[in-house]
Amino acid sequence: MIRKVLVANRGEIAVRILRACREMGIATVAVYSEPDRDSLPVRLADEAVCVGPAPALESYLRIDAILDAARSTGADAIHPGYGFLSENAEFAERCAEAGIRFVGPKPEVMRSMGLKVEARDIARAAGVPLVPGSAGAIAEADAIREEALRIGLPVLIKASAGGGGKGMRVVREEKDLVGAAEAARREAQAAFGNPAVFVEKFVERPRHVEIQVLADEHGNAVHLGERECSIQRRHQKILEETPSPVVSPEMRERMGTAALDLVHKVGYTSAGTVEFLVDADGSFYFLEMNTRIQVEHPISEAVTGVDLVQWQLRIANGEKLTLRQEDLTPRGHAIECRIYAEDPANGFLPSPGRVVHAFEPNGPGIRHDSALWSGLQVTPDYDPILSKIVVHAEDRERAIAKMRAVLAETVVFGVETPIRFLFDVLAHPSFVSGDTTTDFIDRHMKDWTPGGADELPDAVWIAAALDRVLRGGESGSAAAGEGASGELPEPWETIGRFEIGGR
Amino acid sequence: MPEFELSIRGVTRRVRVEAGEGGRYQVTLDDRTCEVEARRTGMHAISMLFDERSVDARVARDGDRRFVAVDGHTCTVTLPERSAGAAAGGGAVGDGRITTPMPGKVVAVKVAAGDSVAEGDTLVIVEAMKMEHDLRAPFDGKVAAVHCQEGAAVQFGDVVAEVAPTEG
Repeated sequence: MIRKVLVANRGEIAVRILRACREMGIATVAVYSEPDRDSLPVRLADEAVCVGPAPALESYLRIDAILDAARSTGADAIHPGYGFLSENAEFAERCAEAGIRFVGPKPEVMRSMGLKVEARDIARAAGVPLVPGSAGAIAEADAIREEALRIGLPVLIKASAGGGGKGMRVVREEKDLVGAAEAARREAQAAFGNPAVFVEKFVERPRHVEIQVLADEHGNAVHLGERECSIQRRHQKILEETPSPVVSPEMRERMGTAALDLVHKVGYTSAGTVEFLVDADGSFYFLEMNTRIQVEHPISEAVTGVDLVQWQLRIANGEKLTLRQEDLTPRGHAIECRIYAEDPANGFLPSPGRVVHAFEPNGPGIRHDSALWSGLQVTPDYDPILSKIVVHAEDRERAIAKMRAVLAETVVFGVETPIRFLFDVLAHPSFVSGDTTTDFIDRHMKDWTPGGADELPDAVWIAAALDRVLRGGESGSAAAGEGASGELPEPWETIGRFEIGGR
Repeated sequence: MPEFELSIRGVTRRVRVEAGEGGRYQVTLDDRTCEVEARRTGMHAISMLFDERSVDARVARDGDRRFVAVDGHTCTVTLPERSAGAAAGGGAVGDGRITTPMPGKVVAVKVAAGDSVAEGDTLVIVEAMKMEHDLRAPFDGKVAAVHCQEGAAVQFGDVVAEVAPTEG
């Protein structure tokens, strides 16, 4: 039995895991870096151990320090969350050697799924569809042409050595094939000293759809349907929903079955996610498997009623899955919005600083997975996710309306956030119609700004002025007699300036 | 009667507030005047009733920055007069809160709570990089509070003293 879990993470996911442990009666240990001393996970955990200074390499990624913390506190399991050490097979091995349960799959499975080529080979062997492409590298222009026609246009020709877009070409018409192949070979030769190229199907305006799975150590596995994660900026998801607007029950079953085929093939255990590209005609192709809990797991929890983090812990404890596939039909519609400290009007650049005040509205079907508090210092050292807002409603239209209402009430002062941006995404006709592809933000929101000051309601200006009057004693006798609340000094006014960990 | 120049997203507007009875205020925004019934409902909330509407505004401040959110519009509010004062090395602010324009050390405190001061009187002297900055009274009034001592280290934006205007 797991009695004490060390959470090797920070921020909202650490809070999420600590709460799951608390509900299950499991004692908890938080690890933290120096600037995170005041963070919610430290405050929520039963014990907390500092594992180093701000840089992740010297704290949250230090395997030795984290294992030392586990030993010194007597933790018998480690939950890695997402990011950091969550997909580090060596860490999972070191946990096993130390006699500490790693909440996740076996190290060898993590390793296989972490290598793109090996993961693709396993997927192919499991009969999971892959983006059609040449079996190996091709060097001859004629062979490239032949292969492209076999696969079907449009195709992507890319250097087999490379990366970074060099030697990469999309070909849509047969007449362009030979020229493009020659050019790709030349570029590949110049950039990588190797002219060999791959040819694969070019999936135009794809969607990113992933299947959540849960598997125990007794050979049982279920899937929890899909998550549509196509709304991305800088190739990172920012808004997810389930069900996907394009996945029918029949398609869900086919995708779920494919994901479970892979799970059984590799002997996967714990919670995991199989990512697919979905093209315009509904064909889906395996991308990769994520061997951890995902940021966007709450939307699957909302529509299935399953607590994925608790199941991770129960599976690590050796429990058998009691969930039955036929009971896991999604109910209603869920949307997640990620609230990062970043500026959507400035290329989504991180916006570190101190959160002066935060307000997260509540209500039916509203969930905040959050590490926000008024006073939080957002440091530039980590992924700047502050919280995730998750709504659940009867259908997609109502979920969109609910999310917009929640965003309009949510307040984060002190750092930039995409709250208003997401509010506008949710109102965009293409989003409303379900036309969500991975290029959505580039296509529809590229030049987004929060709007000029002339578009602001007068109430903003009036409130700004009254804030000074109601606070400052400049209003004369009327305000002075108007209840004590107006005279309350803010803690920040009386405490003077302080910084958490400095800058 | 308090009048403020407020800047939001590069636009500056003048807002005049005249206090009436029972938490009512005559608020003049440019050339439009409306009556607002307003009360603070929490440290970070102001409830306003005006034009037959109820508006729940969220507010906060952090050093020189002030924030307002209404109906999903979150704005940072700056005060042009104040930044002009800070640029001149004064550090005096429109609401009587005296803030430091730079990190440094308090080398002299010239006043005590309760003292009457005239606009321009030196209240506190802060030294940084071997330069002294006089922090002066922004208007005639009384020193409401002194928040620093000689020799104390101060950071950018610290409130070192507060001046309350003389009641007219």
